[in-house]
Amino acid sequence: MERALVWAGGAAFLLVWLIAGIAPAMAHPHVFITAGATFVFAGEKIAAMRVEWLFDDVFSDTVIQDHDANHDGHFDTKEIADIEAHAFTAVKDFHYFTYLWVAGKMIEPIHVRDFSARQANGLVTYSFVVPLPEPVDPRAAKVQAELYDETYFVQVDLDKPHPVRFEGTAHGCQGKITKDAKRRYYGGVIVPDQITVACGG
Amino acid sequence: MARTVTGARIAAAGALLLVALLTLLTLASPARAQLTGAPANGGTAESDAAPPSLFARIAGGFMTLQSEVNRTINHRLVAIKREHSLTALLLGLAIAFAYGVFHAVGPGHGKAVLLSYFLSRDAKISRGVLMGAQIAFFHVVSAIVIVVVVHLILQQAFGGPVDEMDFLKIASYGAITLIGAAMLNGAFRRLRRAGGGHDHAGHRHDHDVPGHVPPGHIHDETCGHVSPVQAWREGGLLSVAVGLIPCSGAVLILVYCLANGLLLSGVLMAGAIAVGMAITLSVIGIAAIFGRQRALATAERRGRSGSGRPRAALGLIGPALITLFGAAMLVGSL
Repeated sequence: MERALVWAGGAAFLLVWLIAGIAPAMAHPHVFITAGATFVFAGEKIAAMRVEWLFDDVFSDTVIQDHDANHDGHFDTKEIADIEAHAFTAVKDFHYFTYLWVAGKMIEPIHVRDFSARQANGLVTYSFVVPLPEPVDPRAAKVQAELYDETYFVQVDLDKPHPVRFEGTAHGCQGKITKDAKRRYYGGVIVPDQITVACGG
Repeated sequence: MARTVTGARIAAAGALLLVALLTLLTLASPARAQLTGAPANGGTAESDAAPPSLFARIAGGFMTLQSEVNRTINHRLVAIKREHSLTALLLGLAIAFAYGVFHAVGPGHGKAVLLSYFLSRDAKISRGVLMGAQIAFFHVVSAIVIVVVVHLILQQAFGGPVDEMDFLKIASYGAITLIGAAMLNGAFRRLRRAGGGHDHAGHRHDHDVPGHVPPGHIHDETCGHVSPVQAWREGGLLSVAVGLIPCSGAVLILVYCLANGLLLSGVLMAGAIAVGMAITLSVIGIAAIFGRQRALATAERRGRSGSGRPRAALGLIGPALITLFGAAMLVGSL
């Protein structure tokens, strides 16, 4: 009898361990974002990163229905403020799905400014700017970014083929995309893309 | 020593079954391994960290597939709203059905409970199908009820009902824990009633004894008997407890449909999800039933004939797993 209990205990431990490993994976992606990152140069240094989120059909349709008050197929200033208050500020709790590193050190907390929203062909795009605490020379310190929702309610995919853009004079800088296996999330199942600003020469 | 070997065999058979099932279900998908395979966007893959485990790779492939299905659902939903055509609705129902099939493969949805339950009980295949269908049904009904109720009472907009699920999760896991504990208690009681010393003197429990299994009774692992009525009640209660957590996909579809005056389409799509989920869950129930039969057959061939120990072990492991699963998820959701 004791033996049976030992086996029961062992098997139970195994199963609970298995389940605990995937327990955070209870939600599923229901909102989809195609994201782009634009690094904004001021002189030789990166001052900020602008993030753009293109939403899927359903989320876009819902935002348009709820916030395009005059149904003119265009968000005016007041409507944009409305969207920001009711359909954007809350993602602060989810780190704005945005992670930034300078020289390997994560910027915490993330601040955002210049929120904007637009619509085209029934799809909504958000845009906001994440300023760096101080401008950074990407040749001197590595600038990296990752865009994802840790809870995986929202799936954030990097835009193809040009997820990374530059504004200002970014001589010879490129966005390099790698997989950041160290920051797997959602129970270790999903490996986020990491953007690294690589400046040749 | 034979007993240890027997136990190991049962455990190994159970684990193999689980892994084989997950592998089969996920590898059959065309969009697998995208997340862990070639780097996207023309970058180069970094390999400074350990390669993903097989489990992570399977789960990752599955997640890719599921997210593609979810994305298509979103696309189809808007099409239903804009086109108002039968074709749009049928396409929506087809993708909702596919969603149900894959959705139930993912974590949650009572697969652990279903496996544990049928590992611990002798049951007919039809009971596996029934219980799978029951869980799927309650899972979706729960979604319909909560969306409609929340909509009627609060007139809430997008996103609202999702927050309401927390207390249902707690209720569901609490109920699973309690039912598991009650089953465990019953298993222990039957075990004790089955005789001190457990030597089966003059009372054999192998299936070779003609007439040992009374008609209309289920031969139980713990040398006692669970009456069919009790088994029905247990299975039904477990299904309700598991299904209490509303299907998140159905919730979102219904919220969108309700907001756009497409309630009927929403309910039909939720129904299609239920049918899809019922298929997956039934397969898992049947696999558990076969797995148990195989494990017991192997154990009885290797071990002492009719010792009843493998049965007793499985009979306790099942309820113990259900209890532990419920408790672990309960703690996790508090």
